[in-house]
Amino acid sequence: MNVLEQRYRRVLRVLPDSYRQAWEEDMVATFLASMDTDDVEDAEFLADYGRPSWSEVASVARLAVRLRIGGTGVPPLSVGLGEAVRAVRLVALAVLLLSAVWATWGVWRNPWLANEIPWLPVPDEVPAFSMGFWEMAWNVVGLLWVAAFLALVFGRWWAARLFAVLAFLPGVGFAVRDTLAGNPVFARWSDVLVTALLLFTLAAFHRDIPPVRPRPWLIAFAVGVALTPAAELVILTLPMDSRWLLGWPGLNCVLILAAALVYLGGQALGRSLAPSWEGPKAMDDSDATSDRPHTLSAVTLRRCLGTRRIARRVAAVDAYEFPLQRASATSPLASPTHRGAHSPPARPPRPAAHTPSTDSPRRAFPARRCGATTPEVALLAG
Amino acid sequence: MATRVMTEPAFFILTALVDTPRHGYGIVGEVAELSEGRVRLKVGTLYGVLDRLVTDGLVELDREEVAQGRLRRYYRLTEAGGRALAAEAERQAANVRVASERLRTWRPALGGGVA
Repeated sequence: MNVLEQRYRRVLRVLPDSYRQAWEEDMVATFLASMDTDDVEDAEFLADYGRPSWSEVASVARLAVRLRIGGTGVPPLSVGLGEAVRAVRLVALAVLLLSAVWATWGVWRNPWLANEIPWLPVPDEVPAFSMGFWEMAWNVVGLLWVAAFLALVFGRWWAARLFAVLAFLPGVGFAVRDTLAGNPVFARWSDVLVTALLLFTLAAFHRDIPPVRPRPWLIAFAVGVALTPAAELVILTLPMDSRWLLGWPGLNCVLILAAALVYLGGQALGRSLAPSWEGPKAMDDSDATSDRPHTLSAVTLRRCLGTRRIARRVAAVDAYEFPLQRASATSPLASPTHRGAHSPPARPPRPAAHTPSTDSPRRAFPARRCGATTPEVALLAG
Repeated sequence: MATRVMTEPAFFILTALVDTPRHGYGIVGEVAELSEGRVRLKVGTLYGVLDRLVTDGLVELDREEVAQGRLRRYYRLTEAGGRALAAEAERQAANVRVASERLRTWRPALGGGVA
C-alpha cells in the first residue's frame, strides 16, 4: 500500500463503518485508477507524495454528512431531521415533567423554608429568607407548569403552549426587576434562557403527530412528586460540608442514570418501560407495512434490545453471510433491509456473460449507444 | 425512485451503464464523455449516487475482477433502472419540446407584458 492509498483510506475514515465495509475497496480502486498516469516517474512521485485533492476530500466529506444525517434511500435529511424532531419532543416532555414536579413541590417547599408555614419547623441548616407577595404569587403561578405538562400529555398542544408562556412570563419580570435593581441576575437570566428554549421546543408538537401515551408520563409525574420531597429531606439532613455529594445537580444525574438503567433493563426483558412517544410507534408502523425481508437475527435482536442500529448491523452481517438467500430477489442489492446499513453489494445471482469492459475511459468513444436504446436519451445526449 | 427527482449525476451514471457494465472509474470517464466534460464525478459523489441506485434496485453488481492487484466491481443497469432512465429521459425530452416550441415563437419583448 503506497502513501497515496494510505492517505485516501485515511480520508475515507469519516464515512460510517458499515458504508466503508461495503464500498471502501471499490472507492480506493476507483480513486487510484483516477490517479494513474502513463508516465512512470509521475506515477512513482504520486504514489510516494501524492494526496487526494481537496475536491475529492470534500466529496467524501459531503457523502459522510449525508450518510450520517440523512441515511440512504430516502430524501436527504429526512431521516435525521425526523429523528431530531422526535428527540426534541421527548426532551420537551421530559423538561416539562421536571418543571411540573418541581413546581408542585415548590408550592409547599418555598413557603416552608421561608418559615411561612407555622406548624412546620424549618431545619436549622437552612439559611433564613423571606418571600414577599410577588414571590408567593410566582410560586403559585408555577403550577401553570403542571397545567402545561398535563395539556401536553393529553394532546392539547395549544393549551400547553399557552400555559407554558404564562408560566414563563413572571420569570422574565423578576429578571428585569433584579436587573434594574442592580441585583445579581445571572441565575435569573439563565432560567429565562433555558425556559425560552423549552418554549421553542413546544413548536415541535403539532396536530399531525401521534398522541402521547399519557400513562407512563402520569406515573412518572406521580413518582416524581412523591420522591422529590423525600430527596429534599435527605439532602437537608446531610451536614453542610457533604451536601456537594448529593446536591440537586448530583441527584438529577443519579436519577437520570437510574431511569436509563430501568429503561434498558426493561427493554432487555422485552417489557417496554419507555415513555410513549411517536418515535417507536412510527418505527413499528413502518415495519408492519413494509415488505422488508428482515433476517431472523435482526428481528430477534431488535425485539430484545429495541435498537434499530444494532439490528441494521446484524442485517448487514447477514447480507454478507447469506448472499444466496437473497439471490432470488429481483435485485439482490436492493433489499430495503440494507438501506440503513449500507450493506455490500452481493455477488450476482448468476455468472454474467462476459461483456466488454471499459478499462480505460480515455479511449475514443464511438457515436452510439443511447440512440440504439432509448431515443429520448439520444435526443438529450446528442 | 419514482417519487424522487433524478439528479444529473444519477441520470448520467444510469446512461453510462446502458450499453455495458462498467466499473467505478469506467463510469467516471463515461459520464465525463457523455456530458462533454461538464459533469466530472468525484469518487465520493460517484459512490454516494451508486449506493443509492443500488439500494433502489436501478443498478446491480455484474461481476468482480482483479486488475493490477485491485478488486474491480462492475455494475450494470437493471430493468427497473432502464425504465427509470427512460421515464426521466422522456420527462426531460418533454421539457425540451415545450421550451423549444416557446422559443420558436419568442421575440424579445420591448416592453409591456401578456395582455
